[in-house]
Amino acid sequence: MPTSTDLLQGTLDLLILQTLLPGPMHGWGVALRIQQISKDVLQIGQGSLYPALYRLEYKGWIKAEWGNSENNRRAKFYRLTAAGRRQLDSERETWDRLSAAIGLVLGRTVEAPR
Amino acid sequence: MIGELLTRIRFLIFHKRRGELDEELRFHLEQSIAVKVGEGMPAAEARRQALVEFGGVDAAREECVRQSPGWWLGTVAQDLRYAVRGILAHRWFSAAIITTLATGIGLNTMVFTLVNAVLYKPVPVPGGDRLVCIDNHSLAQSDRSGPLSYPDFQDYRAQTASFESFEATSDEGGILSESGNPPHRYHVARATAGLFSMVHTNALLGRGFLPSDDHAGAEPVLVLSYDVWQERYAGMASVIGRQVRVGGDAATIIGVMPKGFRFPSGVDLWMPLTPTADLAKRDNRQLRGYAILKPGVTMRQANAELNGIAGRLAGQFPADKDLGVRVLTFQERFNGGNIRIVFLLMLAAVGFVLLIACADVANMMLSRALSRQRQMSIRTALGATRWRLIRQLLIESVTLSTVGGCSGYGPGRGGHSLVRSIDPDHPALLDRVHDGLYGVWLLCRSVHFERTAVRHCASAALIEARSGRGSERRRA
Repeated sequence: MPTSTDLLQGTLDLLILQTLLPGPMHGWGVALRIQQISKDVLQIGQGSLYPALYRLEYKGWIKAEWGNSENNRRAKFYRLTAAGRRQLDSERETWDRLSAAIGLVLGRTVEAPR
Repeated sequence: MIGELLTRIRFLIFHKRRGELDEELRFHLEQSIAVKVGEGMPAAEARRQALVEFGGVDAAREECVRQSPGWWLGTVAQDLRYAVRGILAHRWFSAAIITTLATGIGLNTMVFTLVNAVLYKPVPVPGGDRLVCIDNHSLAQSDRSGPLSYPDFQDYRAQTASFESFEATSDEGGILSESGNPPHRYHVARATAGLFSMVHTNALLGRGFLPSDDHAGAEPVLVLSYDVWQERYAGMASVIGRQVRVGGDAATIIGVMPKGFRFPSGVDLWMPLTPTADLAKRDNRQLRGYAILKPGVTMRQANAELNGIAGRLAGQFPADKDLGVRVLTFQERFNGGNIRIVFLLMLAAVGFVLLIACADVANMMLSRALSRQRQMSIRTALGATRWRLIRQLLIESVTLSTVGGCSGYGPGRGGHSLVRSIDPDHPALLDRVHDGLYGVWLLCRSVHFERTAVRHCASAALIEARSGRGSERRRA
């Protein structure tokens, strides 16, 4: 069974923003989707998912609206705002740079013993 | 981002309703349970596992609330209310602290206001920080300052390049008389014509001196101070142009200076310094020099330059033998020597009073904190963070010192009016001296002092509470 990976600080925001990009979704949906897409590697603890959603909402990157879920239950849907989209772009860029840099460093340490 | 800022402000004002959050979390749990039931789990077990997966619901809820911008404002308000209730509940304790602080801060504000006005504050005119006084002093005998002679002054003024303007006044008494008004003795300054323009002060009524007013043979004119105008002439505008006699010589009143203007010191009447045969003697010294340094010229440079000129004059004229020149600040000239030492001693004395007051207050706070160990340990046990406990103590002491500092403002003001009533002509008090800024600084100082004390006792209390000694001692 794959263990859940500790998320880097701030990475959760990026994941949530990216998940909301196709369209509005409720909290449960966000958690489920991240888990599915990452093939169960990333399991968002609900205790940190909702605070993160609230934080993003307070920052104005996402907007919450009440709507009806697939099984006709009242649920809160989160939608990406224009500011959130910009934020997503800049965070993706940061992430790309960071992961590329880490890749470079790891590549070098692998080569070293040779 | 303006949009982000607006969102934050909106949430700061309209907090989210608690119910929304609960409903959202419930929805999440129900979905989770539904999925597990769908996988064939019994309902009770599904519910248990969903809750376990979720983690603490209360913790999550609290964490969500904490995301809101400015949520801590509420807890600060809580601490503040608690502090005020504490102050009111321990009435005598609080009164003792406030009185101690008010005495210390009030005394300091009072004395500092005076010392600042008398020793440091520049004369409140444009360029007042560059205003200097020029005196002669004997190089041979004692170190005492003395006045300048008219020819020396003119030579200095002609040869120096350090000053924007350089004027001189005599300091004498004169009897003002005219028909229909009893004669009265006043403090008269005979000044070179540029005196008023040097300190950028225009006449309130009529005019000041014209450059030609101090030439030989000019019409004799007279400028009144505001007080003389009010008292002797009842503030009549028709006083301009009136013929009067000063010390037997005729003069025409041409102007009235603004209220409070007595430059250089306590002057009632100003007249132009016109050259006379008596004044032209090099050993007739009765003038005081006043000058504005050019920007960038230091007092030391001006001093050196003037002494060079004085040295050349000493070679030329026997009367100027062994004569040096001294450039002083306005405050040094009028409040130098002993007055300065007395004021500085006063400042040091009240400084110690404040130190003692702060130490007293810190002791009282410490004793109170010790008696509150139990409260602190219970709050720690309930999960209050260390910062939260310290912050509460801090807010309490800041509230106390703010009240103390504000009460100290009264004595500070009182001291100032006291000195004004003793010596209203004092040149340094030309304007309303009052220095609230210093009070604020003092307040910060006392708060800082207490903060150190509070931090100590807070950590002491925590250590005791954690090791459980605080409560054991109570039982014993």
